[in-house]
Amino acid sequence: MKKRSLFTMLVAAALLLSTFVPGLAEDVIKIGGIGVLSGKYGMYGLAVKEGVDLYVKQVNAAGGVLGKQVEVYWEDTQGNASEAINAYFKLSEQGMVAYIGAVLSGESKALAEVTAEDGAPQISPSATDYDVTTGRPNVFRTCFLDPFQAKAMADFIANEGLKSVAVLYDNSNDYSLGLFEAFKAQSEKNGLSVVAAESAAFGDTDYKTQLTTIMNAKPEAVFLPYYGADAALILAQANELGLNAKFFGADGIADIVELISDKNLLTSLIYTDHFSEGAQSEAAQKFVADYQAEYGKLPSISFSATGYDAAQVLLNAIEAAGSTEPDAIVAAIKATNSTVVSGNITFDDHNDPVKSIFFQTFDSKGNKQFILQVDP
Amino acid sequence: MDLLASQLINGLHVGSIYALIALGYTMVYGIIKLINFAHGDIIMVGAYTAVITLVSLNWSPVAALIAAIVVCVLLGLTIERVAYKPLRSSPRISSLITAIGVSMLLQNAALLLFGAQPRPFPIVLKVEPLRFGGLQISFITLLTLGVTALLMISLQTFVHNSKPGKAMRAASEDYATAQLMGINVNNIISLTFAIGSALAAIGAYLYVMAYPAVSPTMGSLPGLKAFIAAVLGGIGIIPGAMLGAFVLGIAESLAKAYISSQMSDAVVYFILILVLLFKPTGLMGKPSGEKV
Amino acid sequence: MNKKTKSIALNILGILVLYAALSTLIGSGAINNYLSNILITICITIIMTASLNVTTGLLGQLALGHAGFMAIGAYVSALLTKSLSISFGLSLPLSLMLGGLAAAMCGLLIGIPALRLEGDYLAIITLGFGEIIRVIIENLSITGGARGLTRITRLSRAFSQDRTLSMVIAFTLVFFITVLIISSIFTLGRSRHGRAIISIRENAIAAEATGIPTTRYKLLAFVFAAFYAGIAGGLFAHQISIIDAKMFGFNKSIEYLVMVVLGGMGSITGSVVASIVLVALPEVLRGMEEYRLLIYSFLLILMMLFRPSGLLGTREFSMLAAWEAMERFCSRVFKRKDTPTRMPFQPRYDIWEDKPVLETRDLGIDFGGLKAAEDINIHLSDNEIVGMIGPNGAGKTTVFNLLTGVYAPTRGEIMLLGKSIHGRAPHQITHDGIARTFQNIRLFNSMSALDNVKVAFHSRMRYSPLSGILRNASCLSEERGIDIRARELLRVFQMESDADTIAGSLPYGRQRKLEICRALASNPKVLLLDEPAAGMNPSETAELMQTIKLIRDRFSVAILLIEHDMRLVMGICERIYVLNYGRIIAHGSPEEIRSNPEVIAAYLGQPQSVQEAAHAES
Repeated sequence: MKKRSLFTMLVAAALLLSTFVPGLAEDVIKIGGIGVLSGKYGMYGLAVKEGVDLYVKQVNAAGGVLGKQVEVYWEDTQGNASEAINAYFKLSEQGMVAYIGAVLSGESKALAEVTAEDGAPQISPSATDYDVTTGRPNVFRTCFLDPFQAKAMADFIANEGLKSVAVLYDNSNDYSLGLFEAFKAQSEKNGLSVVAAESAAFGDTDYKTQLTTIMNAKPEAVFLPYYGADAALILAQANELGLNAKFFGADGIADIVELISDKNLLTSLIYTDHFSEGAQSEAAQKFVADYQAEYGKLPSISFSATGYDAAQVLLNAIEAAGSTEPDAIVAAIKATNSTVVSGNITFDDHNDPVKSIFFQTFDSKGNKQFILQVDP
Repeated sequence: MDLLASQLINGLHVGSIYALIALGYTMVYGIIKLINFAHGDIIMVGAYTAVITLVSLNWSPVAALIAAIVVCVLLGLTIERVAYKPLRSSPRISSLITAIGVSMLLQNAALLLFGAQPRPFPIVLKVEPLRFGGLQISFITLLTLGVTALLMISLQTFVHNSKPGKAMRAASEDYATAQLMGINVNNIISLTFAIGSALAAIGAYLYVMAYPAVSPTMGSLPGLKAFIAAVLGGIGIIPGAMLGAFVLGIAESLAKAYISSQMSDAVVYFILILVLLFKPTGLMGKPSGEKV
Repeated sequence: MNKKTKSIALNILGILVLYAALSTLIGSGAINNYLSNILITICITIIMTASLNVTTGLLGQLALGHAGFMAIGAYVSALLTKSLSISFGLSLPLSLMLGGLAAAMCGLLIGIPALRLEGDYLAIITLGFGEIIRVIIENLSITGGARGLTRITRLSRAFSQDRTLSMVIAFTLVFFITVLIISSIFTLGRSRHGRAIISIRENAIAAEATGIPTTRYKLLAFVFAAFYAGIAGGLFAHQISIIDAKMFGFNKSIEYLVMVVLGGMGSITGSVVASIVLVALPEVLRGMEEYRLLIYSFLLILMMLFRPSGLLGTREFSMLAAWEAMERFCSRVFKRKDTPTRMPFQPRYDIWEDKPVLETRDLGIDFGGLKAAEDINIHLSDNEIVGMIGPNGAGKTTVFNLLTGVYAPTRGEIMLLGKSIHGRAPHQITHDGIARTFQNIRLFNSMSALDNVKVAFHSRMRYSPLSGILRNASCLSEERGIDIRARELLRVFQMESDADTIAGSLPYGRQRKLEICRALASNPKVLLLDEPAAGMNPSETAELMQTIKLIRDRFSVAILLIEHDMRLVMGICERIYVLNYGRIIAHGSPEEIRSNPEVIAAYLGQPQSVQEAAHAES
């Protein structure tokens, strides 16, 4: 037995060391792709990956960047902050030039923590939390921010002529909390009265108590800063309780279509998104067509568009910098001013893009309906 | 007042689902002194069975319910035979760890088979909420309460009046003596698992009617809450499980409504700890101790 | 060199060689940043797993919220290093220590319900506590709420501008903290405190009856494990530099539990090996990520079904054993001769003349409406052997349970050496001078015979848990003394050859003897033997009679024994009490009892009393 355990130890040590393979100088530009690719939020990461891979494929077909082919190394974080850091340590030993990711806000913050130490260029296509880029000149994103979309939504609701609004949010989720705070501030500014603000614990399925309280406050609109899975449960229970109001959501709610059986409920939902298939620009039309040709489906999650954009901004910057030095790439990204599929992108002092926002809803079959594009 | 009444009804709704699940825990614990951690995941399997038969196979809602019951009962029996029976004489901690293992196994198998994305449960019946004065009660709530009450009464009758029911109580009173009295304890344990799993399947069906999302981890939280309910009421005692479940459901609902929805889980655990400190065998439990 | 020094030297050598090799590889860059981080993760995991093994393996209580303690340590220490404006080299050790202490405080909080609850309930409480900790962290503003804490100083970058140097320093720090913690768990496990904790796992009732304050030791184990988990949490926070409450959920606790189980509950080296394998393996098999938890759960079930004791069971992998195996392999066997010091066994008892050593006054207890014992008046004098007989269900064991504090009497009083023992806990009564054996033997089955006896010496030893960890002079000298006395005691019963045998594997008669031996080790004034001859053949019984006489003569102790074997009772008892229906129906010398008509009626039975007896039994 003792011998066997010694053997186990040796095998483990050998396996550990075997992962160490000296990197060889290759004639490709390596980009690290880090994000959640499996689990509950895996479809967001997969959408990003599809967008990035599509752009990289197109660039490679057109001759690559700086005369070299581009290769993206993907690492799955399963949505864990610690896995994001591990993935970075792993990839950084393999000579990555820059990183695209991460996908969720939490893991993106963790990744930013480590890329900032090395000054490695990082672009997240989807981290909407304000703090991700704070104090980190090397970190960028190609999506708008939570405060921005929450404000836009509060403005939209006010413009619709609705007077009272309730919020149901998840206090244990930084995404939901951030949206709630910004939304509340802007609503009050717009003269909308927030008649109820209820929170539901992480992983809950029963929202009836909170919805009963909300119903009791008789709001005209309910803001739901949730991901689609939770929002599907909320809409079903609100319907079961007989809560009649208009519902509003943010970008994370976009995947609700697959997750709800009663598609009729979706007609009362309006949400903000990074991109719409209904967008009229030439770049957007081309992207939708290319995406459909490549994957045989519509880009239903807008992160495939922002992922495409992230890859475009990054590779353009490398080309413009004329080198793969981190500082040069960061400077070139910062100087970006170009039209991408989700609108025009420039970066402000906080490294956030100044860009368009799309309002969407659904028809009773669950097809997305484009309502409005608001440009900066 | 109406608000309080509505919140109480919400609590009763959740409580009755907990009760159906809690019965499975409590009956099994009563006989083999095992916390069947995998019981919550039986709910998940029941829900997947229902959603697959309904959506992919286009079965009728009743057929889907029966399918869920059959699958859950078979699964419950298999788990008992394969994983728990060989460990009946081992230390309690071994069987508890095995139960945790079975739970993880079911969840991760479902994750591989069905993916992490929740599946929506279709609408099997659509009835407008009923109004009683200012009070509005959804039909699903009423249905859940009714079905739970019916099942509880039948179970009480079964356990107290039928022969296998009496054997079950005998086995939970004293396992070894029951065996000496000519009761086939193995069959009784199987029966217990079968009833517990069938109730879990019905609970699962009612659960996804109210919360129409089916996912691999959906069973762990209601499972855990139901277990707490069973402990609260006095584990091993059937009426105790019902009492505990309703207390828990209402406490949870009121905590969400009037204390803090965020802290409701903490409140639940806190109540559990308090009850156990002052009444270590639960609300309806009798004092017990190892015989010296 | 003796065996012990050699073992210590070998272990230190092994650790130093390992450290030298790894740090050189890191310094030279052969182990890159990524792999160095994995090494640090392994160390942190080892601390977590080994500390969980203290509660789950050594104490035998399933704890499902271990990651909660880690969370407390992580948050406390991260908040401290973020807010303290002293150099990181100072603030880190301070914050780790305080993080550990904060976690230990919570361990104490969880331990308090543990005073009243057992096994399954405790598992649920620990689970609940873990969740409460998570919810609270998520709702406090100081912890950053749901957003967690970011920008925590990273160990691997904190010590020097030079990355490699900084990593070497970070690794050195984590490596030696791990070594210190693991060795402290080892040394504590081998001390009287460790024996006390393990005895609770083996048999809580017997542990209490042997004089172990079981609740206090449950608490100690919880606090100890929580303290180390807190330190691991502090290291984790500074390794990863960003923490949020979800990192420390139920699944995390379960992962550590899996490692404990696979390594072997109770085997610290097993935990170390399991941590290394289960951290390294997923990194190697990154593509298999989806299957990881599935495989874990399979392993968990298979392990429980076919090898419930884990990889190493409760055994420990030792450098010495490996070394000796190597020596044997090279057929260079050293011949060693142990010459143990002999010390005559000398009980130091005050003589308690004339007055009874033990006396009960109108003792009685009710169970619900049933008067299980009523008007029990018995007395025992020094050096007396007294029997207690009666039909099954007469209440004999109930009287024993009253005398040893297992039951609290409803009426009456128990006087030991002239003082009432009312309200004393069983382990205190053992200290006061009553020791017992059990009807169904309750040994600490997986401990050696010698350790079984040593557990009973617990209350006569003084050294603290800290001296136990440090193995300082007071610990070593007391342990040496106890070792000699325990062996001496075994020798009195001709069991010295069984000293290192696992108690559970001894033949039945010897187990009985060992139980008596253990009871005597607690230095009793009164020894209660509950059916010592049960299950023995006539020759074993004859031997037992000699043993009992020997005990009275050599140990100056009053013996009260319950027995059905009349030859034994009549053969050695000076007086006999006869119980029926919870009352003493007769009392006298063996001859008087033999001819007492009431006793004959109780044993042979009159028609109606037989029926009544049958009634009372059912």
